[in-house]
Amino acid sequence: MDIVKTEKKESILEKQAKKKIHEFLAVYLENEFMGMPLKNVLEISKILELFPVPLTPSYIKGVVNLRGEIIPTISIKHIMNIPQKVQPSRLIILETPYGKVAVEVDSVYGVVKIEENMLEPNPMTAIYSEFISNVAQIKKGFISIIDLDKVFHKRM
Amino acid sequence: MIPEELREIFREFLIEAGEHIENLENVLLKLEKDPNNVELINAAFRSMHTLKGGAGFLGLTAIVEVAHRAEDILGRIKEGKLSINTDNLNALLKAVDFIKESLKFYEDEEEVLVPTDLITKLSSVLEGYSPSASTLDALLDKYELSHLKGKPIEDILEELVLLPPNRRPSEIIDFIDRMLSEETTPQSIIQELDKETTQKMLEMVEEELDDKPILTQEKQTPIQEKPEKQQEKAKTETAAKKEKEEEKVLRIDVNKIEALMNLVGELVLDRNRLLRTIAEMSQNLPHNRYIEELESIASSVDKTVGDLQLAVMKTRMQPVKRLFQKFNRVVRDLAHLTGKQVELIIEGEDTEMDKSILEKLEEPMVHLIRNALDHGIEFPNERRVLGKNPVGRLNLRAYYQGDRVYLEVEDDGKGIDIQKVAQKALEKGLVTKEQLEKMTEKEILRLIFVPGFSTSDKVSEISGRGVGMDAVMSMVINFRGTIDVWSEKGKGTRVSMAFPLTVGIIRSLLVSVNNRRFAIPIFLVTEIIPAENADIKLLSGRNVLLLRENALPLLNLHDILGLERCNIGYIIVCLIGNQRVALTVEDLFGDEEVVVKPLGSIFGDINGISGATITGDGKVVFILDIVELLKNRNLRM
Repeated sequence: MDIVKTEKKESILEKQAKKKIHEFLAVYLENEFMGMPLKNVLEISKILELFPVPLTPSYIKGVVNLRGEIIPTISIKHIMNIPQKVQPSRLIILETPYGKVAVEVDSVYGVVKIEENMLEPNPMTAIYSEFISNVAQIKKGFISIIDLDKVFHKRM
Repeated sequence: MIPEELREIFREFLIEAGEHIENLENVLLKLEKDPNNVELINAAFRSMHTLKGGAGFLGLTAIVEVAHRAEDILGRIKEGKLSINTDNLNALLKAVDFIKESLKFYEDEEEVLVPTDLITKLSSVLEGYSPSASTLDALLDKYELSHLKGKPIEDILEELVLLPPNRRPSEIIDFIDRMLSEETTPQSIIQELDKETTQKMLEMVEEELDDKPILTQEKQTPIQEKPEKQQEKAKTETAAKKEKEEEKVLRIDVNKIEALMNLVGELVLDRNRLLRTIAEMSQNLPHNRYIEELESIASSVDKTVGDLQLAVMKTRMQPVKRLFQKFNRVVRDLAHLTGKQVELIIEGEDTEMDKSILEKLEEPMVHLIRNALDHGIEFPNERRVLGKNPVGRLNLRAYYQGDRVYLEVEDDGKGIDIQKVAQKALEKGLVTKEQLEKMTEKEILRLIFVPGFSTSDKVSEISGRGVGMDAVMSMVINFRGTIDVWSEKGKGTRVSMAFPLTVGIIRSLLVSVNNRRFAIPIFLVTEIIPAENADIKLLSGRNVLLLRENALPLLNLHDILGLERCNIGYIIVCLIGNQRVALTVEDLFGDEEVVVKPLGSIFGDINGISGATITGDGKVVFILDIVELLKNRNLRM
């Protein structure tokens, strides 16, 4: 009996290994449902007082004081060429090649888990397609995964 | 290439070697003036020996070869068999230079070739003396070691040591032993020491014969001890004293100090917040017993934090001695090169300043010294005709004044010809004739700092084409310093640089522009004028502030920062390098000690903002780099 049990356990583990699961933080940007790789997300904060920095490009909104730490804040909508109508309500603090950077999002849905085989290649139809790595159909709807490397690579 | 397992030791050796190299340079220079000082010779010998030992252990062949010969020369000098002269000292200094340079290569994991030129040079110096023992040669022949003939005894011994023990010709060793013991002069200590070393090496070789020739930790110890043992033997009273002093110094990783600085920075910010909150409390709730108590605690905390800040700051401070000492060599070499005679006088070498500034000062100081020697101090015969001491005087001076450290380079040479400066500036189109007419002598003198200016008609091999002054100026400005120059024809020139005591925390004036707050480092601010009292004129299409008959360029800070127009409440006069500029601001919010924090690498280098800080009320304030902000603006009036 014991032997049978262990075999069963192993087979489940094996299955899980095959079905690699990716985690994303799902957010809304102008009513578009988007995901960011969770491994890059350090924390979610409410909107903090923004201090604009003179003499900087317009995609940099300024800096915020996050518990005594000065964090640059960028407009991801501006970088991705998404029209800016909805007022952002949250800051996502990300770990990037440029250190901690805050990006503004309209709202946060939560963490979604997507199996690797569910991630479809980018159909390249949207205006911001160059910043999307994959798309996926999940229960909640159609989600576009943002390629953070591209977002942070483009300007800098 | 240094094997990984020896890297740690190599790093330690680097530190130690740095000290020995510095020591050697100083001692050799002193020897030039005081050639019979036995203590100095011994000190030089010890340092060179230690360098050789360490390098040998780490397999830095090029250094070993050079150090070995240099050590031999010093050995001969010690024995009185070689006299000290400029040639010998030059060769030795070259050897020191080479060791210094090659250490850098080794540090970058590059291989260094044995410098044959230098070796030949050193050997030729050595030729003044060679081991005379002809019987030794005969013995060498006998044991088929004739290739060692004519080599110094130490060399022969070393070669012998390298032979397997059973093949070591005891006859030669005995002979050398006898030779050494026959020496009765006190200088022969060194040879005895070498015997000791030889003994050690013998032991090592024996060990290695059993083992594979891989150096393990245990075997490192005997060699490492070698220089110390030697020191013990040759230790004089002064050396003992020095050692005692060294014990008081603790080497600390810079990162630890940085971490401490950051923490103190945070503490300073919190203190600012605390003081602000308590001030507000006492305003809203006057005569409250608890608040009064809180106020007294806060003021004590305030004082302690201030002291702590100062104490931590001091750990980053180093005496300028280390920097100034390097110039002994520079001045000596330059004097030789130019054929001038110069006496270097160093004053205030115990003055301390921030390490990061100190490290960057060498180059600009060298520029100033070169200028003084090349353009300032006259040739000895010229000086005699002028009734001056044929030996020129060069002063290096360091002192504190207020919260600034001053460094000065002064010579008693011919001074700067103001007419020549004016003419040159005119020729180069740096100023117009009208501008020149209005300028004071001092202002004209300051034109030498303008990029591309040179007073020397000929391009000199030593100080080049006046690029030096640019370099000095830009370095000074980078470290929030100021520079000034005085000169009197026939009497001399003095260049004076002033730097802040520290770099991490800046006392700043908080101003607002367009309702946004900025911090201007207070050391730049010379004057604040309420806008309604200011005398502003339009002069050839530009706004100027008339201040006690001087016209200063007047710039709107909101324009410079690309912000919209705003009210002008105050005008701030800043001194940048040696130029005064007036800036308009909306309002003032007093001064505060601000801790400079970086903005984050995403911003790259914003020209004009050197960082940010968080004020007591949690607001982010940007620290303006006025120098950068104004860089591309034509400020000359």
